[in-house]
Amino acid sequence: MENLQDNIVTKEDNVSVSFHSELMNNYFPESTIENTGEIRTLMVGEDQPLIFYQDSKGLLNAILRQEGTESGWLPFELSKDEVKSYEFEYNTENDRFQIAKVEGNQVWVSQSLNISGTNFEKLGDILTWKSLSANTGTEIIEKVSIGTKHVLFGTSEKGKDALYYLAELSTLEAKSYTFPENAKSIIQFELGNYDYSNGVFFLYGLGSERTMLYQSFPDPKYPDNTTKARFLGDDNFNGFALMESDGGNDTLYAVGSQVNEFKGPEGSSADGTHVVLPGTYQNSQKIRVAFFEGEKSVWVLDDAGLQYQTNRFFDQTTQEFSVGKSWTAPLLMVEGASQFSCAKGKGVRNQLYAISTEYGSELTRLWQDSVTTLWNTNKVALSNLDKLKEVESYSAQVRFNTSLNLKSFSGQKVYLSSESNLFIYVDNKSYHLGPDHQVAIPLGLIPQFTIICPVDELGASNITMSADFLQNDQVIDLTGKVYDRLQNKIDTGNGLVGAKKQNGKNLIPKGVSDSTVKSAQEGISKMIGVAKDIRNNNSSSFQTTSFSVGGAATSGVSASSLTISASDFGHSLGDFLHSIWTKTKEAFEFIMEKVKDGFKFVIKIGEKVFNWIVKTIREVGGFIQKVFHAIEVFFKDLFEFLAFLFQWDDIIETKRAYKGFVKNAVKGLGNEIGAIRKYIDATLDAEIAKFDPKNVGIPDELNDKVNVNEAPKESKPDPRANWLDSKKQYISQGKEGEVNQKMPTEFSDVFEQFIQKLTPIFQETGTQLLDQMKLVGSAFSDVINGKMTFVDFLKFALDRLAVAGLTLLKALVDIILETLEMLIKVAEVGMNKEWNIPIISSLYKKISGGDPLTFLDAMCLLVAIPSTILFKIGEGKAPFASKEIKDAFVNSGTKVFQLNLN
Amino acid sequence: MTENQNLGGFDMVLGLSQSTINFQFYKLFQRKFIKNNWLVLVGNVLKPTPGEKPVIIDGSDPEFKSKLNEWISIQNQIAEAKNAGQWSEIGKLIDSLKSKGLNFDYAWDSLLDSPTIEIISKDTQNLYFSLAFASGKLYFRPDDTSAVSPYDLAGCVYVFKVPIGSLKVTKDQMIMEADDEMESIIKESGLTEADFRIESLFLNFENANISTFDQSRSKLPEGATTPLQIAIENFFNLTIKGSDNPYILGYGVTQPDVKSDQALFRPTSLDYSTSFSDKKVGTSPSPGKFSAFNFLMMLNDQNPPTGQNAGVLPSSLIELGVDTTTTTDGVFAMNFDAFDEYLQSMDAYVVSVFSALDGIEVEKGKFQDKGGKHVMIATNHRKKNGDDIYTTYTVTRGGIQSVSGGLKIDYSIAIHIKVVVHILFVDYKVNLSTSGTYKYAELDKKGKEGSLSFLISSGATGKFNLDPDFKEPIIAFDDNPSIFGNDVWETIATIFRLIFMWPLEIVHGIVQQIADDLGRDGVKIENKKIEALKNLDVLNQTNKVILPLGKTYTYKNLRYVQNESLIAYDISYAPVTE
Repeated sequence: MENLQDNIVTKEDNVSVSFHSELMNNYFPESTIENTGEIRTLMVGEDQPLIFYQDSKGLLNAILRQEGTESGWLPFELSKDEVKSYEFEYNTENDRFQIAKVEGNQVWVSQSLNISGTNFEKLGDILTWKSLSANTGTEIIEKVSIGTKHVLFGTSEKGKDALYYLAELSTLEAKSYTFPENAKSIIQFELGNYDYSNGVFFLYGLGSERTMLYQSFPDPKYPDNTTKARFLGDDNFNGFALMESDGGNDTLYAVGSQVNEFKGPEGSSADGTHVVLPGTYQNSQKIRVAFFEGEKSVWVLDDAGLQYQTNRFFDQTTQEFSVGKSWTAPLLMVEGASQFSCAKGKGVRNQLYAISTEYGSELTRLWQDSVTTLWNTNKVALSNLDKLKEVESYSAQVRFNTSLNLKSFSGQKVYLSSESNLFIYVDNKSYHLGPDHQVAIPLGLIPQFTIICPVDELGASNITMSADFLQNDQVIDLTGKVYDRLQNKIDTGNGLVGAKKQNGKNLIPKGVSDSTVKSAQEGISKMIGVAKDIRNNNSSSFQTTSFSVGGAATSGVSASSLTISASDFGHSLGDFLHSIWTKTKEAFEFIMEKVKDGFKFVIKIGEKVFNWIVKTIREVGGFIQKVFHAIEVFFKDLFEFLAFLFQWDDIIETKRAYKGFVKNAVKGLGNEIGAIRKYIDATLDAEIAKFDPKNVGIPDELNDKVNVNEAPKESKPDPRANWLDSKKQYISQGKEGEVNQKMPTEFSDVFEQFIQKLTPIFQETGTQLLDQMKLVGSAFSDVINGKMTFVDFLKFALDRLAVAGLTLLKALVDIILETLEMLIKVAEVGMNKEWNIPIISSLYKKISGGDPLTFLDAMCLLVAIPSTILFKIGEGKAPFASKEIKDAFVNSGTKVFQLNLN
Repeated sequence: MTENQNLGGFDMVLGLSQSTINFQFYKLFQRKFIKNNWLVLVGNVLKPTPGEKPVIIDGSDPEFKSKLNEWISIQNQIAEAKNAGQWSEIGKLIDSLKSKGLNFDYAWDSLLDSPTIEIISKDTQNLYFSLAFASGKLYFRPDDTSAVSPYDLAGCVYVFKVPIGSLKVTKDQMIMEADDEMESIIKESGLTEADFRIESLFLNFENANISTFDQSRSKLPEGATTPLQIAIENFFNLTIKGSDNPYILGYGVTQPDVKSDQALFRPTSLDYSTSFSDKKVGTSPSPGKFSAFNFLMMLNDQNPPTGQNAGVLPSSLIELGVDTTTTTDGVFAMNFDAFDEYLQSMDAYVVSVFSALDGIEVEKGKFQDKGGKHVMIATNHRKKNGDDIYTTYTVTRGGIQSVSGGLKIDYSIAIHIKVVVHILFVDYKVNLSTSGTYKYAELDKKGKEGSLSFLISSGATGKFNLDPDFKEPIIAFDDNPSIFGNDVWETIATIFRLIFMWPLEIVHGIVQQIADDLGRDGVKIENKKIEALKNLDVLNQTNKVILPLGKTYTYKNLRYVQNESLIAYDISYAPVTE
């Protein structure tokens, strides 16, 4: 036996890496989350959120971020019925988690789970619930809140005052309490601490007014008394949030037209303090706060959408952040949002889950990368084999080669990380990459994988790859090819002026002056240069450069001569690009200057000057995108301009040709089956006859260029050609398991019978025949591919099978022919029966305009996609661009099984 | 306004429970707002040298402990020397004490518990105040040459009477203490919220007479009675009287800073009394839940009542509580006669709505008491094409009712219309009214009085919420129209029809006006909450503060206690941070 170690590839084997990244569409069998109610987020790991949400029916659901799974999210159902309210408590001190919900006019409380000791992947099975009720059945339980020791719920009843109930979690015996005023409706409540006591913060309605109030539990020393405190702003509050402070007292953030921060009495002061944060809101609806390593963030939902304020203040003069003293003005993060939840993490500094009414009610994730501070958006999706999600992405195919064929990559791991945080798919499994997030990708027998990095702008981070068998770390530059292509387009002809997208439409809308386009493209070109310098780690030759867009004069402006204005500051680069520079800015000046630890980008918009030090290629991408915005070119346009687009019409056309061919072939076979039987009988009884193999064939173009049966074997990786390769595992991941079980039953029945009849023959001949059968099967595919005529095949088959002996062979042929006849009979039905393969079925529906995918369509499409793309990459046109070729090919199907014995 | 003896002759009384006051003292203590220790060395006070100031060294002195120890040590040496008859030694030691500034009479080195009060049965003018020590010692020197005696203060309680009957806060007093700028503000606003905060109450105990300590309630260490009495009284006298620092009972307090809103019922004077109650609720009675410390208030610069029973309530107001759970802290009550001021403002509003309409005259321009009824009579005379229309509106305010959710006030609207039509020298008179029973044409329903009701409920921070309800009046013929005979009626019917519609339009206009004032779209929608009262002259009080102290107390369960002629609320002590 060989030593396994000798067989595994190592550093000494000179492994070469090749990759190719393309901006292109990708498809995932995923569906987004339709959501109506409250969203809440619990970080169960450093960057692992568990998100609770209510679906469109009000049922409580949760999803857990899970690295290396298909969609990256694992779903759980946490209620059977509509949930009116829910809340969880995360006890930071002992790292425990507990959740409460209102379902069926009862309060349900889960057991307390230790976060680090819980396998959250099994959350659905682990959670057990205990219930509590109000004193009377006429009271309607409206809301629930849970703390570390207590559960709280509020009730309302027609014509009566609202009540609240408190129960210790250890006993779950609820006792009712009144409000200090005649509250009719509870808007919000939270368990909290204030003024040396534990109690509840309330916001309730009192006629047209609202009261924001804290009431403690009865004091242990004075059991007849409770501490009460009220909080007033300039107008009614619409919501509040609590932040735990070091002293144990909670800081209250209440929002009306402004965010008000209230702190309880501290030191010898009997009074609390009240601070109003900058900025105003229109009809605020909800507020959440987050605290992470001294940094506070406030999120407010109002008419405009979801807005964000933080005390992590960026000082542009020092290019440093300071925490604590000042608050930034509100920034609009999600326009038109209707629900949200926020969380803090390490690599992902801010995470935000929002439902945006403007774009439907899908759960959307916004996250801010801790390295670049850039904001990224994506819709949260769950694996759904019946749905198709189209994703704009950078797709990179990575391959490893070694000159020694015998060395195996199987079981070896490749480690991926990234200069800034990003969420990618590797072979359709979702991963988080970052400087502190390294992911191990196991290699199979074929040492290759596909990285799909969904993007919503041109920029993307580099990915760093290392492995035990690699001499050096390798950097996968996702954007390089596309930037080159963009540079090329700028350099040729008129550049971007008058440029057309691949669909023939203008890239730049009318109304943008040519001079603006020219100045923008000059700037973009320079930025691409900076990106290249960063990529190549070569910036020694960089000269300070500047450009202006939209008529702003740059003469004599240098980075050092600009003074930084004090207003509108405090925001990080990501916040700036996401929100401040959000609209098309038609006129601005830009200066790029090499500084010690990166490139200094100075932007002058109107009278305001902003400056940032840029260190990563990703940040440059963010700026390029913004310069494009100035000429009203958005990512969608750039995608249509630069991306590789699947020409589904061509693919459908190819599929039609294959389908026509197969239909004809089957029909032809049906007509010919009598002749075949006769021929075989004759052949077997007499001598092998003479006939002309050239009578059957398909067009030369296809014969040579299209290998419809095997995966492409071209030497260079190309994610476009290998698009289907990255999807193939879905086929075996259907809900029903084995492939033959997913076949239409007609086929599987025939298959079963065939096997049954064959069994006695095999019993007689042993494995020898079986081996020969395999060879025959392989030869048969050559017939389908036009590489062998049918007659040749028959000769070959008879020759091979003759080893079994003449009598057996006759029996065998009978069985095969019988089966063939049966197959042809069922083919009409079976091949036209709808077939459900993940991704392909949905994709087919999409590209065919809603046609169901039949068994035959599926088979033909699977072949049509790669063959069309490969053909196009090689030939620059679709395989069946000419009608003659297509017709000839389809017609050849009628003859493929013809014996032409005459 | 008649004095209400149920309120001891005052206009308004806020009864705050004994347990709440004690709890609030405890909270002040927890926040260290009330000082939690006595650390002080005091000299030259018991037998002061004339012309020399007392010596006071407090715990903030870094050498406090060492000075205390050195004083004790030297005093002991003095005592030993005295026993040994070494007189010169004594002289030297005393000189050394004096030169080192250690010639103390006594010293406190103790931690305190939160102070408490106790309301006394059958004594509305005094309460017990107990000063409790948690730990530490009193060091007392009976005379110059004796050793210092230490007294362990753990568990020691010193209880004395505070004669609150002599405490009061008047506007004049406040003005005296205020600077010029503040003077006008105080004159305008009356008492402030701050006067009703627990800190201020505490501050007002300044005038307490602490020497009358209560033997039975106090717990003093053996043999320590006299030294404690002397030291406590002396210490108080030292730190309170005439000093700039706000030390009260040895605790540092300042009056809180509260922005007051001017209330409709704003108090202009404040007195105190107590009401003892031994009422118990449930199985676990807690002393002092129903005993009240009374804030006695007068409105509109009225002088407080004098005489023996002034401020003496027949029973504790807190016994009137509806919500007596841990949520509430007492009861606020107002003389019903005083509350009438608010009802009058509502009357004025109703009058204004009628008189705003063209051609309507309100008799005497206001509501009048006629035949035992509180009514407003509005009339209108209109000539049209030589015909006369006389309309009389009688609006009657009914009694105030306590209902679920607050107080209900009903105004009934009766209408009488007399139409005189001249046809060919003949006057035809037709009467229509809300009590008419005959229908004809558009007037197809029996007459019915209309009504305008308001549900008053207590809102946030002393505001009122008004929930209006309208029922449109219906007019019908008083006499059967057929008495005119068919022919005549047919002739004049067309004229009448035009005329009848007109007084109805007035009613409609009034109803519409009220609806607009209350910010509603149409009168048909009943019981809709008032959203906007901004441009309303009279009713906009509802958007303002009606009740005082809205930023210190919350109000709930507004009710009319008819047999005691009181408007009462349950209150909670819930100060505002703003």
